Amino acid sequence: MLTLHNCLLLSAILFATGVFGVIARRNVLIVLMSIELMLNGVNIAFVSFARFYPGSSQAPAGHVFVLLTMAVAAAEAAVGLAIVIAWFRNRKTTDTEEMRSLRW
Amino acid sequence: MRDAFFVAFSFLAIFGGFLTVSRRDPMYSALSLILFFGAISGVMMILAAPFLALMQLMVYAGAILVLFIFVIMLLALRGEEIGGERPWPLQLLAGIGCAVLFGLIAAAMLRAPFQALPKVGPEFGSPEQVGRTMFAEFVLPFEVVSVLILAATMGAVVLAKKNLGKPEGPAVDAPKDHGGTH
Amino acid sequence: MQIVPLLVWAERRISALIQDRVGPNRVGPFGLFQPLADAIKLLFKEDVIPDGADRFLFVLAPALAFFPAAMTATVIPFGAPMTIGDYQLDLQVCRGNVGMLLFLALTGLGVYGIAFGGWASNNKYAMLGSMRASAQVLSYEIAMGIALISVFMTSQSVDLNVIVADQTGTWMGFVPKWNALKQPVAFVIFFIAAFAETNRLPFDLAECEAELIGGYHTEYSSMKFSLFFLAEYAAMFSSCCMITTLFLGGWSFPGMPAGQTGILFSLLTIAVFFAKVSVLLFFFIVVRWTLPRFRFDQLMHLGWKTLIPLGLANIATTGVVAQL
Repeated sequence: MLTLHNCLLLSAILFATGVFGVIARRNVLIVLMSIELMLNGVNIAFVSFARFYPGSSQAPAGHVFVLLTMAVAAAEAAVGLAIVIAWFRNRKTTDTEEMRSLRW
Repeated sequence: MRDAFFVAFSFLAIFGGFLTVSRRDPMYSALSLILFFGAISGVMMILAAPFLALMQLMVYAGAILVLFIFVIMLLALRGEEIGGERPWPLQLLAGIGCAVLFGLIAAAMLRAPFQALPKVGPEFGSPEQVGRTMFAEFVLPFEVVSVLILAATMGAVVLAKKNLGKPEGPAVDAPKDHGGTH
Repeated sequence: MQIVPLLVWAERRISALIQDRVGPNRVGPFGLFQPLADAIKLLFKEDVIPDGADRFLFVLAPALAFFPAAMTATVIPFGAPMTIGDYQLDLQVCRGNVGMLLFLALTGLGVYGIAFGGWASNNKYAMLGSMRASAQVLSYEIAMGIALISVFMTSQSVDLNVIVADQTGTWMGFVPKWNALKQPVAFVIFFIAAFAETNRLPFDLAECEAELIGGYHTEYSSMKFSLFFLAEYAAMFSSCCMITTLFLGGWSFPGMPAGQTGILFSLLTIAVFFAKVSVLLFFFIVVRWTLPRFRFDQLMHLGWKTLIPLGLANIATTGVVAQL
């Protein structure tokens, strides 16, 4: 059923799944992917509020914010993966448990 | 019809998200993430945001996820290299924590007043409308994001370069990201 | 999709012409049925899945490669709308103002088939090929998008029908108002990027026979190989359609009477469209058999250090000119 509450529930489920991935997994790549899950959950909330209040002057703002989120997500993925590459080059691991030192 | 599609896409998204966090092999996580992004794009299409749905496919599925897969291939994470997992009691605990978190978010969100689905014209969510709002009301956030992307680009290049000062192979160019496609 | 066997035939005949050979000429008139014979041969070959391969991804990859390539054709307006009785038939499957974005999104998705194919094969050469392909497609997609933005600025729309309508009419009676003439820089950038996106020579580093045996589809055989093959040619065809629509006036032609909706007129526009596409396809094939292959670092430098700055400068220029 397409109601505001269902859309918001969907977004909450996706967000919680992402949080689970971040805390429960040790592979840093999967942690980064889980962050993308969380961002997408939030995007769904933005879009559904825009859809259900189209008359308000702020409705297109929801769409704009999703675009900004995507840009930030892209930047975050690029930097995060660069860190992963640099880390792997030195330590040959993608395990978050091994990432304890700030320098070596 | 629309409801059926919404339900189908929602379940696909939840299923894809679940697979993403539960696969051991990062490559399979990435594969599930394609499913997830596709489903999210479908949900956005149903929520009358066609422009965003396609941007979703372009930016997330077309660029970000390709970066992930590229890095997985670059590191050649296969078999033993993937590394260990947390013991199951900790995972269970994390699961319970996330269920509680979900309950809290849902409780807060469900306080939003019930809203019947309003009708919207074909203009709603079109590139024109989003563009007008973005460049009229939200110029400042837009510019800030462009600066952020510039900083991230330089940061990524600096981080991924083997040793600064020496010329480097072309692979480091990959993390640079489409500042221009927005 | 039916165009693909014809393309393969054309490719082999033209390459033979260029290399002063005869080419396939035994099966059917001028060897026209040769692709059909090849397809049957491929179907009856043994389907091998290598031992070390990731079976699930290995089977999935060809489908992932083929799907986006086949889908891109849906957004292209092939001809003027046809009126049969009261019913108006649009010669475009997927209408709407976001068609162009769908094309970009789908070309971006095309890389997954190649990436997963190379990864699942568990083979050094296949893996190198697919890594090259993903870096290449990612880089050139940006150049492509930037070239498109200046086209959108001239036409003031992302709707392909509006873009085509914008290119009708002529200057001085005979020079068509094509975007290729209004936006020559964008045209060149898009053209080069289209070569890179379809993994054609001079950018076919993903599968260059000399270095990587067969690249990402080294381990593939039988039907799965033919799906990769089909995807490559289908992508080439839809890129040519897209270049035609965006830069060469689509189905319009100089001296076209306005406001026509008859069936004959529609068929004429379809013929014009495919004539333009055929010229482009011929060019694609000739280029493959004349130019040498780029080195990978040259490829990346061309993409990042030449095409993208050039495209950005072009956007700025377009903006300034539009304001004047």
